[in-house]
Parts: sequence; structure tokens; C-alpha cells
Amino acid sequence: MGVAYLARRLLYGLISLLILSAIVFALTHLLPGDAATAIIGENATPEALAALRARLGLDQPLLMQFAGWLGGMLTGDFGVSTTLNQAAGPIIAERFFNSLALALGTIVVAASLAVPLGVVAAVKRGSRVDGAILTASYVGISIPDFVVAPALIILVASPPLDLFPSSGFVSMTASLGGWIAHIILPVATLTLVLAAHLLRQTRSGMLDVLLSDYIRTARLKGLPERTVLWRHGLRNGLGTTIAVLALDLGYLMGSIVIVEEIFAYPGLGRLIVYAVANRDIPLVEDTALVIGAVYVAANLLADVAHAALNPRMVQS
Amino acid sequence: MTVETSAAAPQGRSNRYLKAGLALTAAALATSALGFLYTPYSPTQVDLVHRLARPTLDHLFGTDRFGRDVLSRVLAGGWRSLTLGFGATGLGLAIGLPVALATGYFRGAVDQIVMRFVDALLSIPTLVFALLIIVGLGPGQLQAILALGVASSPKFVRIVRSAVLAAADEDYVTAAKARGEHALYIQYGELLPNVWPPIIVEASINVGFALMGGAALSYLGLGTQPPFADWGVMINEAQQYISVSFWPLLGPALAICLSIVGFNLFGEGLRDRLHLKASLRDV
Amino acid sequence: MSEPIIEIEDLTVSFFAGGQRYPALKDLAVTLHESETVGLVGESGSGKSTALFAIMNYLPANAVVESGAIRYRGRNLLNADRRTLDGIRGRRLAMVYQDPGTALNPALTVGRQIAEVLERHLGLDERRARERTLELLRTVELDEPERTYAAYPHQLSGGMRQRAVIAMALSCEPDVLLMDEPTTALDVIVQAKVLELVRALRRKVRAAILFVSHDLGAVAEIADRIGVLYAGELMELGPAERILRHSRNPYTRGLIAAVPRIAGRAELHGIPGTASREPTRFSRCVFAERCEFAAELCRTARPPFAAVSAAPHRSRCHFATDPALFAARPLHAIAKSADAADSHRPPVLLEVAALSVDYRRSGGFLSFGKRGVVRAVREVSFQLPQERVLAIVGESGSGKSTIARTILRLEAKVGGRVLFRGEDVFALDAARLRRFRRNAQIVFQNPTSSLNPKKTVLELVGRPLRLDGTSAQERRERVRAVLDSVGLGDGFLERYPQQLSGGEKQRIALARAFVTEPQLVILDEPTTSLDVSVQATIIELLLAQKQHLRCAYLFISHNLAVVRQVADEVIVMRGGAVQEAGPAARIYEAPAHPYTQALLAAVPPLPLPAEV
Repeated sequence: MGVAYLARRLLYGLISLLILSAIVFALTHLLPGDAATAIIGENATPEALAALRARLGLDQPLLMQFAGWLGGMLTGDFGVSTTLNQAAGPIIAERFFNSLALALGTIVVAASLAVPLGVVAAVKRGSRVDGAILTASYVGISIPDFVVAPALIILVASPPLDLFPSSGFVSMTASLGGWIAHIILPVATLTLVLAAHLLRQTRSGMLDVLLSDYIRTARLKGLPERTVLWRHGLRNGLGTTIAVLALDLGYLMGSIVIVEEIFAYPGLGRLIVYAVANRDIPLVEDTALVIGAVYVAANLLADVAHAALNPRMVQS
Repeated sequence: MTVETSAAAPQGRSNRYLKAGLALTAAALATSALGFLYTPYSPTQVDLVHRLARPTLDHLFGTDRFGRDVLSRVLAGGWRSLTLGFGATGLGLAIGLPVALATGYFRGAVDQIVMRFVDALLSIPTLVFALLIIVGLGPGQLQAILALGVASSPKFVRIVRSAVLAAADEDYVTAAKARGEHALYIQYGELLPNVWPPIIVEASINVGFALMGGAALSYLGLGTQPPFADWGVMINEAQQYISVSFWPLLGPALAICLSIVGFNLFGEGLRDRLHLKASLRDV
Repeated sequence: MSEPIIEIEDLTVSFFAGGQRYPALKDLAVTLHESETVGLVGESGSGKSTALFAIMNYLPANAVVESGAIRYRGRNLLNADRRTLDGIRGRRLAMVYQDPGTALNPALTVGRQIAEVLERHLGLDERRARERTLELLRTVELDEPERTYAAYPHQLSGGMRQRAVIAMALSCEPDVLLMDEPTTALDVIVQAKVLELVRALRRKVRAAILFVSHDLGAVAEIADRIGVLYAGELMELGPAERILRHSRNPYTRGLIAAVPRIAGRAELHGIPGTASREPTRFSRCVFAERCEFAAELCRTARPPFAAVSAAPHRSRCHFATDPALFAARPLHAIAKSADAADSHRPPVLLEVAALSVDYRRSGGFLSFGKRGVVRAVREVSFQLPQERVLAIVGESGSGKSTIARTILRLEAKVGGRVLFRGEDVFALDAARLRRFRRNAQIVFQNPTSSLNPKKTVLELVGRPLRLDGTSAQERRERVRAVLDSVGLGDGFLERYPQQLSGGEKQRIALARAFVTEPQLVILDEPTTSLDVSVQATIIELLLAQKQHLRCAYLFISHNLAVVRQVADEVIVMRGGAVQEAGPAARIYEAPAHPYTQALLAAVPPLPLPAEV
């Protein structure tokens, strides 16, 4: 796979990030109400508002503010949270790792469940196994996280079972067991829904592959079905699944917002909800950009992985 | 007869999905319409004596923490949740469709730039995007519809554009250009009639997800505001007292799940019925 | 005769869809012997592909074998289980596919895909399998076997891919080679080369070859025996020479008469109507409704597959043994005088001068510079006089379609001029442009793609008139008139394209082009997607319309035989540049440029039919 290809994908990614940051900035700054009003309220005197704006740098032209903000983000200066009166950087960094743990855990568990099931469903299309798997996936995508979570809490985090804590967080360094105990329910909630999506996508991708001409060729060469599937089918089928995994990550980031809120889990999702509810503009835009950047990075990785599996992709 | 290498989805299954979906969707719409007009009790009627009661003949789904009848609240809140779903989908489509038709038809530099933009938008999860808009607009039911609608439009652009690209390659589009047809006519008169089936399917399915998103916003306190309540708000309120009674949770949860399942089934059944290939969303 | 390897006995196969039964093959009986090549000819819907895949016992889930057997060395393959089949497929029975681009796995190297067959069936280890694979690649005349071994399918050309697929099929020295239209997806010259390869291999291998195709010319080149399939029935089977020159079946004769000959212009006769798909058609002669010899008997009783004379030649026709009938309507010989040399040349209608067009490959954003731009047309010049036919001939990528689109301003030019009736097409103002578009129409290759599936025939054909502002009433009248002129009745007005056959759809496309009474009609491969018998009727129609409308044609095609039937002048193109140009007669009889000669040599010369 050529260096040129990688370089090009990287460039695409950076451009996407640039556009993304512009959009985030635009959304948080062009709508009515700005940070100053959020802090001291709408009934403040015009002089107080003007003074605050000057102090926060809000009186400068928008383009300059944007450049300033973006430049800051790139050099590690994330600005100051207006509601917490602390540097935003460390807060975001800590929450970032917490959310990352959640996301990675979910992806690993969900993929381990969903991909094999999806392949099985595709291979046994139309059978009762396929029907059962499809129905399960239906249920999975139709139940919102904020229903699954309380259901799980009722089932395992309340008497009589009371296996896991229903909220809160313990850092890994303080107690590994505690950390795991607190992370299990959020991961389980997220996994249920993600696995359902992944399963359908894997199944769909595999079905397409199984109907293709090269599978027919493989069978008519006398290869046993096992070989046809593993050597010829999966390579192409999984390629599509990986490409789609990146899209799923985006979906996951959205779910994380709700799930962290329900379980009072200190991650980026909970942070952004707090920031939006309290109109802490710097925190909102910083967090949103970080979330988006994670998605762009995941996309890049997925593209590279897909190209490695399917050499024809490199040409397009 | 050419040797068919694809076996069409069994007819029976798609009809079942369609009927089941239609039934559930109709039920959801009906209960919401009903709730708009009539409820057994007033949804805001407080009865502190019978708080968090089990279901009885008087209160089929029990009561919540203020003694309000859960069933009535579910009925009354239904139309708000459904409006969120339909409104957001409608708005998303209204924005996404013209953009997708235009970029899919014109291609070239315009298409590239717009798609870069759309790709960037898609890297923000829908919910987070909606939150960003709410930061500016403030919370509220209408604001939630607007936010979700705008936030879901990039998805629609992507989906509609794939369908448009496939159709735009056909020779009848070239033939139309050769006749000197106006660009708008080609987009809406030639392309759209061939492209609406997958759009309808995706829109139906999206109503379910928009419903979910809207309820999520309400759950976070950023959608429907007190004193009004929709299903998302109710689920939030019910959470604190699950250990005492899960009925206030069950009512709205059941309503949401059944509605979403209904819309999904309807969309899937419609897709099979219209003999479409696998979802553009899933691929 | 040598030993029989495959015996298809009374095979009857039907498909089930939406609760309906669609019979595809009825009582097919053919035997393949060692070392012989049997060509199975049929148009779309004939069931030829079904027969081929039935031999491998690889039919779709909704296919049912209602009766019959397929014996490989005595063993019925249709009863065999998957394990048995796995041992036979690839080892004793091997297949070559129509589209090598999709038949090969894009994620594996070509070499691996061939080697794995050797490893699987012959138990070779990786090293020896690789050696043998390289040998095989040399046998199929691939020059750099190591490079090809390590290449992925998309890195090879179509011809190379097909050779690789052939190598893969021959790898275990199978008893039977099944070939499903192996040259159809390839360019003309490549087709000829691959066909030559197959001919050479015939002498080297002992396998029986079953070669399925719609191309009678290709089959005639390599087959010992020929079978003709129509609508699921085997209409005729016998030695190639007898079938081609002394056929005793009206369908076969019709098919032979419909094939355009490169040797010269002839009166082409297509077969009117379309093949029946009624499930009940086997209670009579399936060809009865289209047959010029049909009698009452043909419509009520199914003809037996009877022997014709002493030779192993059989025909399914009630009149097969009656030579007098066929003598009364002999197949036509070539009339060579039709290429009239023009004494005076009418005024020029369309002139293209030093036209150059770039083609921008849609690379993604950021594919700056040369990577995405190719010069598709290089300084091409020609003149098309009124009421004449100019043909542009070339293989894919030659630029011929690009020229057509540029003339209609569907592409931007980078140099040169296009003059229509003396006016620069690219400098026309809005009003003149509208008039130009009315006067210059285009018909595309694929009739399914060129008709919007959501519109009725009336809407489709009437649309150009609508742009002119004609009233609904008058539109309807004119549409009916033009449909009549292309041989379609009023019943078609409210139909949708999906309800029509390929030939009918192309007629609609033609009607749409003719309805504004244009002076120039550009035809971009108008018959390429059609069956041979239908092609002939469309060509007849085109020639008749030209007389009637007094218009000029710009006829684009890669099929030299078809072009011979219609063209007054010919331009040969390759890689965007003109190789040779001149009157049709001269180009065909005395081609000067080596490329033209190669193109002409690549067309299999179908033997002329003899009087019975």
C-alpha cells in the first residue's frame, strides 16, 4: 500500500478536522446568546457585558477568535472553563481517557459478539437461526440506551442481586476492581445497542459477498464451503465491516453522552451535557471538537485497515 | 432466463414485517391522537396519597412519584414525542433532499466541496450536534425539533446522494441533457421519481431514531420543558424511584420501544416490498 | 466417436418466483465426447447458461430439476452430494466464466487463486503448486508469468484475466471444460486472440469442451458439433458444417440469416416478434408464432427431435425431413453491389474539425494534476454529408462515444470545432441551441438505461415534443404516428419500460429520437445489447427510417459486421486518434492501416449458407 495513499488519507483527515472545527465554532458562536450573557445573565448592564466581553476576547472579529481558539487547541491550550474557572485542558484530558476506556471496551465486546453472529446469520440466511439473530438485533436497535440502562440497573444493580454499583466512578490507579465494577454496566448498556447495529451491518456485508461471482468461482473449483467462506468470503466481507465500524464509532459517541449521564460516569459525554446546560461555551466547543476528532481518527484507521485487506481500494 | 444468483427475500417475511410495523405505527399514532383529546385522568393531577402505586383498575399503569396516573401521562405525552420524531425527520429531509439532488446531479467541484462539508458534519454524532445547536437556541420542544432536524440532515444527504448517483449514471439522464432539459427538471422530474423509494424507507426508519433522539434530549432536560412532559422526560423522572416502583418507568419505556420497533419494522417491510437492496444505511 | 464423458438426458429445469413456475429447459439431451468441442448457441432466454450450470449442479435456490439426469462417466451429478461434487468440480469438470473481472477474487493474487486448485485437488505443496501455476500461465500465452502470478485481478487487462481464468480451469487437466460466453466481455481484437487460444488448446488437451455463446461466428470457429437452443428447447443438433450450411430448422435458418456478414452488404432479415416465455409453450412448437413456415400442426403439437437424413443431425421441427420446404425459401447469399460509390456528394451536414476532448477521471478531491486527465479525442476531423451514414469504428476507449457526446455539447472540448449546417455548435445562442437539439438526436446502447422506468411510453416519446410546446392532443397523434413507423401499436402508449422486451425498448428509444424529425441521428452502439435476431430487425428499421426521414446517421459501433450493413463511410479510431478513414467499400476490401487490418481479421467469418 503506497505511501502516497496514506499521505492523501491523512491530508483528507486534516482537512475534515479543519472544516469540523469551523463548524463547531460557528455553531457555538453564531447563535443568539454568547458566553458573556451566559455568565452574568441577560439582565446585566450593557457596560458590565461589554467589559466581560473584552476580558474574554469576545469583542474581536470572529475570524480572529476562531484562529485563536484553533491555534490554542493545537498547541495544547484549551482555554478556560467559564463555569468552573479552571483550565479546560486537564478536565477534558481526564474525561477523555475515561470515555476512551468506555468506547474501546464497548467496541471490543460488541465486535466479539456481533461479527461472528453476523457471519453465521449470513451464511445460514433464511434459517431459524438467522431469524432469531435478526429478531434479536431488531430489539437491540430499537431500545434506547436510556431504557436499557435503567432496566439493567433494576436487574443487576438493585436488590436482590445488587452485583454492581449503579453509578459513580473509581479510577484505575485507586482500585482496579472498583474501576471494573463501575465500568461494567455502562459498557454493557452500550454494547447491547452497538452489537445490534454491528450485527446487521456484518450480516448485510457478508450477504453481498456470498452472492458475488468470485464465491461462485471458488465453489466451482471444488473448494469445500469452509475454505470458500474463510479464504474467499471473510476477507472481502470483513473489509466492509471494518469500514463501517468507523461509522459505528460516531454512533457510539452519541450514545456515550446519554449513558454517562445515567450512570454519572465522568467522561466527555457527561461533560458536554453539563457544559450545554450551563452554557459554558469554551467547554462546549472544546469537547465537541475532541469528540469529532476521535471520529475522524477512527475513520482514518478504518480506511487504512480496509485498504490493507482489499488492495483494490488503494486505487480509488 | 438468465441464471439468477440472488434469491429474493421470501415474500411472506416482508409482508409480516410490513403488517406488524404498520400495526404498531398506527397504534402509536392512534394513542397519541387519543391522548391529545382525552385521558382517563388529567396528566397533571396530583394525588400524594397514592404515590408510586402498583397498577390497579383505577390506574392501569400505576402512579408516579406525585401520584399522577402513568397511563394518562403516557397518552398525553405521546404526541409530543411523536412530533419530535416526525418533525426532525421532515426537517432533515427538507434540507437534505435538495442538497443531495443537486450535488448528485452536478458532481464536479461543487459536489466535492459539499461532500467534504457533509463528511465533517457526520463526524459529529447526531446527539452532540443537536446539543451544539441547543447551546445557542436554548432548551425546548421546538428547539429540539430544529436541532435534531438540522443534525440529521447530513445523514439524509449521504443516503439520498448514493441513490441519486446510481440513477444519474443511467442513460435516460444523459438523454435528458441531450434534449437540453433544465437542470431542475432533470433533478425533480427524472431523478426524484426513481429515487424516492429508498428515501421513504430511510425516512420511516429515521422517524424511530429521531423519536429516540428527541426522547434523549428530553431525558437530559433539554427537550420538552416542565410543566409539559413527553416520554423522555417521564423516563428521567422515573429513574430515581425505580427501587420503589418500576411502573412509572415501564409505561413510557414500553411506549417508546414499541413505537420505535413499529417504525423500524414498517421501514424494513417497505424496503422488502419495494424490492430494494440492502439498506444504504447499513452498508 | 470417442468415449462419452457427459450425457445430459432429458433434462427439464424450471424456476419458481413469486409463486409462478417458469420453465427454462425442456427435455434437453446432449452428449459430450472426449476431445470434442460442442458449441451451444442461443439468444437471451434460451436456457443455455442454465444448462451449463446444471452440469456443475450449481443452480440457484429457486431452480428445480423436474426430470432428467446429467451423467458424468455414468454417475448422475444431479444426485451427488456436496462432498462428491467438491471432488469433481475443478478437478474433472472446470469452468470458464463470462466476466473474468467479477469471477476472480479481488482480494487475492491471481497466482494464489490458481495454485489453490492444485493444492486442493492434486495435493501439491506450495512450492510445486507455484511452479506448475507458472507453467500454466505460459501455456495460456501470458508473457510474464511471475508478474502475473503476483498481480491482483484489477491490475490485469480483461484479456489477461480471462487467460488466467482459463489457466485456472485447465490446471488439473479436467475431462470437461465448460465455457460460458468466455469472449463476450472482451474487446474485439482480444476476443479473437482468446478464441485462437481456445482453438490451440483444443489440439493440446483431451478435454471435452462445451462452449456456450450467442455469437454464431465464434462458435463456428471452434465447434465440431453445434446445438441450437431456443426458449428452452433444443431446436437442432449436429455437425457444425451441416448446421451452418444445411440447417433443417427454421429458427436456426432465421438466426443464420440474421447475422450480419463482414463480407458485404446483404438484405438482413431479422426474426419478427419475441421469444415466448409462457409456461405452457412446450405443448406446441415453441417457435411457431414467429416461424414463416408455421402450419396448424406446429401450433398444436410439439415436434419430436427427429433425425434428419443419415448423418447424426437432428432437428425439432415437423418439417425437418422435408427438403422441398426449405428449398422454396433459400437463405440469401451476399449481394455485393450495395456499397454504391457516390458520384456526387450531398452538402455537408455535420463537420468536425481537429476536435480534441479531455476526459477527467473522477479522482477524489485533491487528485491534482495529470493523474486524472486523459486525452480521449485527439484532433479528429471528418465530414458527414446529408442523408448519409458515417460509421465510427473502434474498441472501448477509442474515444468514439466521447465524440458523439461532444457533438451534442454534453462534453466540453479543449480544441477544434463542431459545425452543424455551417454553424459552430459551441457558439449557438439559446434559441439556436434549442433548434439544434431538436435537429440532432441520440440513441444509446442500453435501452433499459436510456428509458426512465417511471415514465410511460407516451411520456417518454412525447417529451421532446413537449419541450417544443406542442399541444397534448397533437403530441399524442405524433407519438402514435412515430410508434407506428417503428412497428409498435397503440397498445404501447400506456406501458412502462419494465413490461417491454429489449428490442421493443430500443424501438421506443428510436421513436423518441425520430419524433422531432431530426436531420442527424447519432446512434451509439444501438444494437450491441440486443440479440442477433432482434439486431437485424432494428438495422432494417434504421435503414427504412433513413429513407423516410431523409436524415443522416452517425453510427458508432465496435461491431464491424453490423457497420458493413449500414455505413457509407467509415472512420477507424484507436486511443482517441483516427487511424484510417474512407468509403466503406474500400475500408473493408482494401484496408491500408495495420490496425484496421487487425480489426477486420478479428471478426470470425461466418461461412456463407449454401442452398439446401
